[in-house]
Amino acid sequence: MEQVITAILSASFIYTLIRISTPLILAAMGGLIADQSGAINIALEGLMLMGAFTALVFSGWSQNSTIGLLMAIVSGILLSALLALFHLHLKADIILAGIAINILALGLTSFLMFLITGIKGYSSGIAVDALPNINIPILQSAPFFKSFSGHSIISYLSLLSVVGTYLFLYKTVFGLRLRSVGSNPSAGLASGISVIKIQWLAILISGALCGLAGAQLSISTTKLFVTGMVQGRGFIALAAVLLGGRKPLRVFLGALLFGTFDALSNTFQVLTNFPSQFIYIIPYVATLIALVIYGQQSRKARQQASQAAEAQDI
Amino acid sequence: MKLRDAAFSNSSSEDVFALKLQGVSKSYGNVRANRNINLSVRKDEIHAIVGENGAGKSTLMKIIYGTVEPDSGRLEVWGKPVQIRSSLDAIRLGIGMVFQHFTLAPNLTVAENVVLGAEPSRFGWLQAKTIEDVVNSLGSSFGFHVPTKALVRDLSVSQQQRVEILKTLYRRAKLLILDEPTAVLTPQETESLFDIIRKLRAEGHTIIFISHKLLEVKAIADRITVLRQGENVTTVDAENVTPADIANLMVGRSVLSKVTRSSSKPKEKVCEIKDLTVLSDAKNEVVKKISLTIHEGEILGLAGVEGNGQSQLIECIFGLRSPKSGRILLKNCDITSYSVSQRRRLGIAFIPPDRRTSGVAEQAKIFEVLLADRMSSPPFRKRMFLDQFQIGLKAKELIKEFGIKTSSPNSPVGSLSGGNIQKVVLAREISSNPKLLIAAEPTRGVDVAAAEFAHNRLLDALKQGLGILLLTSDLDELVLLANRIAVIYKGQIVAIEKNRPGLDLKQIGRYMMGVDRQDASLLAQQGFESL
Repeated sequence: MEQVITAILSASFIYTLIRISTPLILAAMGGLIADQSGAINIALEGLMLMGAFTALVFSGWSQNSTIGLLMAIVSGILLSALLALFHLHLKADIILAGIAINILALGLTSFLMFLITGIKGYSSGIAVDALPNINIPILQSAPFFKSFSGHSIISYLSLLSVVGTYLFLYKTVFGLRLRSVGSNPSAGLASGISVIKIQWLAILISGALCGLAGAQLSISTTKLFVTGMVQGRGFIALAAVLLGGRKPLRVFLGALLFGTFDALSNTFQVLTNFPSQFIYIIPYVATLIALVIYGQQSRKARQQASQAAEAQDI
Repeated sequence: MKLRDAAFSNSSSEDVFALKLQGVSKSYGNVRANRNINLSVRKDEIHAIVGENGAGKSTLMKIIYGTVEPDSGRLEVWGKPVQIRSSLDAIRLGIGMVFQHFTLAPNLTVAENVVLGAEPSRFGWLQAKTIEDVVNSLGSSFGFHVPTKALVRDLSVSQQQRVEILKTLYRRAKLLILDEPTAVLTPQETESLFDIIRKLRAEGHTIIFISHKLLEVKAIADRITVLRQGENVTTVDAENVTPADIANLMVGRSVLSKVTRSSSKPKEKVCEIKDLTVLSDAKNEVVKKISLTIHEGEILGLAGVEGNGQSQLIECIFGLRSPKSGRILLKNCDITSYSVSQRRRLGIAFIPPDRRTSGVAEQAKIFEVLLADRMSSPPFRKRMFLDQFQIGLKAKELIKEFGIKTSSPNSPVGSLSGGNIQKVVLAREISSNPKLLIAAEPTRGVDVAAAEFAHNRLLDALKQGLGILLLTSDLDELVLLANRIAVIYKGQIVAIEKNRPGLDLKQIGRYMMGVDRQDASLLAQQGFESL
């Protein structure tokens, strides 16, 4: 047990935490932007999977991880465009369309992987050019901060994405319009704002961020692609959006919380004899508990809000 | 006003029109919503457009605001022929629209809502300081006080309306269209809206004011255009007509301007409510120890600004919500713990405030909705089965009696117009021969003729000796029908007035706003005294 605690407090745990949280943070920011525009994107999972697959294939084919990364973003955008097409033009329910995208991504990636490698299930035989870790000299020499050095470019981008999302939503014209559309579409319409255009862009942005998140999984954390390797991270990111009350910083902290449990389960695996099945479920159980707590808190908040509103009513 | 008219008559040869419509028509399939409409709105005037529901007011406004394209006809704005294809075109021409249902984003601040769509920005970045200043100075120049940093969802309805008006002014609207702006306001709020409207006129704005409240139209408008069945009947100077004249023009025949209220003395108590306390969904006490008595042959009117506990009160009386404490007696029988169906059997009927959501099942057929409350008992049930013959017979009888315009009792209720749906609800509730009828907003959104019909029906029913609890946000309706008026404020009855000629409506308004209340002893006396 002592071992475990020392491990958690060590710099390497923080390092792991950042690495593991990266895809959660990116997907959560993507989910947040889509959600704020009024188009809840439950296809984060499938978009990440597509990103992971594409990154690996293109990185292996070109032996250039940058190309893999860029193509992951493109694939996220293309697949999310399909979601936008279904929802915004063909008027499909966005939840159903999201489920369809998730299933499509699962099937399509394993099918294509089979076509390429001849083996079902994983990317056997594809030699990948992994994303290099970026060392930051100033941080490297400091005792604690060294865990912030040596991450992939995507990890740094994920931290930037939090600031970026905040500035975008609250400080730009486009962000204001996006929030107005999510708050009340007819408000946008009456001001001459195209609701469909805004939601298109919001969904595409979330697709791009998810593509990036997927790339972290396949060409940085690991160097392979396994069917279904996203393992529910898309849904956990969605949970972080709700848990964070749709506010960028809080959503980031929510993603970090889930990342912590994920990292913990890694540590437990290495250091204890706990049955691995139990350890694997830690992040999911944590998500479940967090959502229950969130549900109760928001019910209280709603009650307080309606009490306040009723008190104000003349 | 006199002066302005004089100014116009002097320059009549070159009258400046803010808006001119010539021969505008629009059809939806077979329905001709607008037929050959001609409308001239002078610069700097308050021009009211009145008409019953379905007279084509909203289609006309949509044409002017660019959300509907006319089939034919010409539009001129500020003397120039134009084509308005979108609301953006309308905004560019200086036309601003305040919809009946506000188009604000509740999660955004007031300032953000005002500038939405034309945000002061540099390279796509919002200029927060400028936005704040612009909105503040705009508000103060028209004498509005709206908190710019507050979230819109925290504002009252009248404040939200001001934000809507600010929005149009920010977009430099010179011609403002206000669609039924007073529908949601108290008399005091209406007064201050009128002040704002007059101020806008003084600053050189032209206002189109859509309404079917004739007294208000008479009070605020310079000229009035009457629409009937998609055509414009006439345009008159407000000075030269009475509200009754306008009503006659709207309906195309003379309307009873006064229904005859029964003068029969109310007799026994039908329903007694004793110290009733009711909780809202959020577990607040929204009805606090209310005691009321409703007598046979009496209409007790309940006045109050929405959200003061009246909806929870009537829900509780009908059994949709259980009280925290207190008792409800129907003909001396304690029904406090009874279910809705038990209460219905004992003789309580309910006309819910929102007919489409809780009054009828829109997908259901007319005959089903008409008899929904009694279909499971004889004579409409034969052992396990419904007696379609008896049901059809009774449904046809009710359709005829209540003048429901439909081709067949088998049509879905949702296909009827609002007024006819309300007739279906009225028919069901009144024909159940109740002892107590709770009528909430019985004429909301129905046209003058249908409202008149409903009023007379309620008064007819009164003669059969039932008691009616009338909840309405239309004070005119309350004064027209009620024998006594109880005012509810923050969950308490703050005043009960006998309805008599010369009743001071302003005083009722003061009670509604909570600035005044009756003495407790007087209240107790009024509450229990027979008329």
